[in-house]
Amino acid sequence: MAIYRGGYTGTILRINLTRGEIRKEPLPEAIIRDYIGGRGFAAKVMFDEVPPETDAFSEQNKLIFSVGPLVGIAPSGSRVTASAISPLSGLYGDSNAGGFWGPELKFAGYDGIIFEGKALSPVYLLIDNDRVELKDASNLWGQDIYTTHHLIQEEYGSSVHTVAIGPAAENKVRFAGILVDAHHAFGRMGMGAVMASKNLKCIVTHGQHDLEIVDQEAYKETVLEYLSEIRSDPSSKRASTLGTPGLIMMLQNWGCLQTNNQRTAVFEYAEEISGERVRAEYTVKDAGCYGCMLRCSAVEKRYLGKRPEYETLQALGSICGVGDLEDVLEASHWADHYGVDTISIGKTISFAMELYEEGILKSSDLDGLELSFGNGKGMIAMIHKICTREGCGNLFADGVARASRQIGEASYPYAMVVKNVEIPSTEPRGEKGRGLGYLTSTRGPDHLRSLPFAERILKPEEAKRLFGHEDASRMTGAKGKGNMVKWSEDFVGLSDMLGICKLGWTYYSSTMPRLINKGLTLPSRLFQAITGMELTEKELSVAAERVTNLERAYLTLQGISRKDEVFPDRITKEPLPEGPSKGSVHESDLMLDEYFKARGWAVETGIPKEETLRRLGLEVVIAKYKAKGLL
Amino acid sequence: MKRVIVKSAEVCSGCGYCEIACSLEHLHAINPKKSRVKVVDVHEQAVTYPLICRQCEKPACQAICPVQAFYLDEKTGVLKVNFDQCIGCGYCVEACPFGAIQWDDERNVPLKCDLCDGDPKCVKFCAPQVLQFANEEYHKARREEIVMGIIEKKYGSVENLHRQYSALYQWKK
Repeated sequence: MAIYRGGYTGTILRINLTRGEIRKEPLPEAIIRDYIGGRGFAAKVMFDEVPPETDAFSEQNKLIFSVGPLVGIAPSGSRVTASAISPLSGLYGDSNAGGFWGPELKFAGYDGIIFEGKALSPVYLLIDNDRVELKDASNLWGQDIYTTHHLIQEEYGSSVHTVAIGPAAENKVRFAGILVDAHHAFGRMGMGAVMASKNLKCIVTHGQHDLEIVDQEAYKETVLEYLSEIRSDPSSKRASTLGTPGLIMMLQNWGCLQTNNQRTAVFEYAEEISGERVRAEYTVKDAGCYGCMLRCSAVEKRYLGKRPEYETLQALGSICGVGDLEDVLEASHWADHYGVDTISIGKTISFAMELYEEGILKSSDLDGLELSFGNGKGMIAMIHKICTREGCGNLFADGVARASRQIGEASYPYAMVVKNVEIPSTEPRGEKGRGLGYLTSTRGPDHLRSLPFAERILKPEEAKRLFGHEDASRMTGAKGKGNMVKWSEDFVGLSDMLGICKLGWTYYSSTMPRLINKGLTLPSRLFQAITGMELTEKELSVAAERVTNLERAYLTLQGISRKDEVFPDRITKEPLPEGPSKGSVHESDLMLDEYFKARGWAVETGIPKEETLRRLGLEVVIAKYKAKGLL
Repeated sequence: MKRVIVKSAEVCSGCGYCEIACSLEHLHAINPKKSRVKVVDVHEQAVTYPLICRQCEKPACQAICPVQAFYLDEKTGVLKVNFDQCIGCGYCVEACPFGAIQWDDERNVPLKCDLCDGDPKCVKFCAPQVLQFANEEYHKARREEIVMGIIEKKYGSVENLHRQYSALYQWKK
């Protein structure tokens, strides 16, 4: 049934919502070779088709879902990238989710969907293999995520998979997400709000075409080798048991557990919200995404939803000072109900809490709530308010940066944002490479763009050999981190392009040397076995570098430069007051110098140099730069 | 008595790699919807469970087949379906008391586990080892495990068993 070589279906859906027009286009050969797929494909489409000055909520913005060549085929091959201009940052944005929808789209016969324009009234897209139709969604509009998913399954049967938006997106909450089968989230960057602005409620998908593999023996051999790695590695066992919540106590013990809107990085009640406690007292079953051998997820028993990830346990736990796990679980449940990013909403509420504690906002500004740190019920009340834009929620539904500008200068020191986007958990002062990754990420501060886990586990001599300085082996070290983050961004960037999970493929090994020695060996062997394409490991890394540079180019065309890569003063000037990382601040300038050098970007501006762009074959960027006077 | 058994359903995450491996073996392409093993997801109850053929001694699927499309493979001793003979009536699917026969929607034929001719791929690729191939070695290992459990209960330890044995015979110089 496959109509292309292994790994790709060869077809992209282009849906013009304004005209109600559905087109099937071939996936261009050049995109495959140079950008691989997934996030790479989306970056190319954004660059070619969406002018950088486009407003996020305008009809000219496009929403792109893309699945890489390994989706549906490789272990942990479940990831989808959703890309658009973000209403939160106003800049290039994307978000990534797992679950079962991405593979289903592939089985239906598509490598991606490009949504253009805006429907006149609410619609949803039905994809049943070759049959693709836009349907009236007036009965679904206004429904929460769970109900939407349920109503769709009632109509089409439980074997269909969905991506849907909820009331938060419909109310244009700027950090509203898109939920996959009601439980996996395209959380960050407000992709849900973009989907809502197009009057698109949901995508219902059913597919049963075969996916071909070119070299099946090599495929099986590689997968079995990967499986034996997983079985023999102690940290993967930990990942299967505790999932990412296992990080809570690790972060606490490193002095990196963001607490009370980043006032500090150790939390009195860390054990209460720890992965160990969640696993022992609140989970009933292992869970995971399509074809995942690591199985980092689980079903929590209170709402039979997915166990919150460590980001959620922090954002709706320690960051708001909330140590009552029941409150955290309830808050997480409501976040999914409305379809909203837990990181941004948690950080937004903690911002409001700190303003309340500092006396900048009074109870009367907060609809009568006594919003001190630790007020779990108040936090839940705020989730309802923000997602429905009721009362004071309206102000905060636009995110910390916009709310802060409304409230005034007194609130600026407490706005924990980079490029208008809320900083994710893990304290950058305690884990500096990760902090650098927040600054350099091409989609607003984000931990998964770089994931420089090397700083947690390298030995000093390895750090010196690999990244040029022993300090790179210390989490609070700054030197060598620029090189490390560059390497990590390319390393994990390829996962986004191939469509495999970062946890499944890059994070299971407890020993960095082993991972670095293996490098991309397994994924690139799989890529070759599946697609039959002779791209070497080196060529794949260069493709990842090319994608980051193209995204960077897009950002710089939107006016971003080094001056925007700054943390709030709290991170760079206020030493951590206590705990294992006490006294630490983030030395952003030093690290950015090294990073820009490693990238081949101008150190003063962060704009990619002509020779770098030429080396990567990005002549299109050079032309645009010259036209804009940036080169 | 060879079959694939569900040894530890409590650690099944529902990832469906058994289905991926099965379809690859039989179709030489990936398509979980045409797999012979089927992960049933009872979502509201938070249960996932892989359903697979029990390789019955008196197979209800074979008994009900009006055209004798089921045949015993001489080499492996496994009951298989001759697709050329099958008329696609689907009675075998209904007759199976375990719901373990799946259906190929495109070719309109039943999909029944054939143990991959002695090396079931669903077992091989199941990361948490939910599925086990209950072949001779498995039964031998299982019996040994049961016996050791009995010894443990009855004697406290193997050492005690051996001690009791030693006590049965005394020799004095």
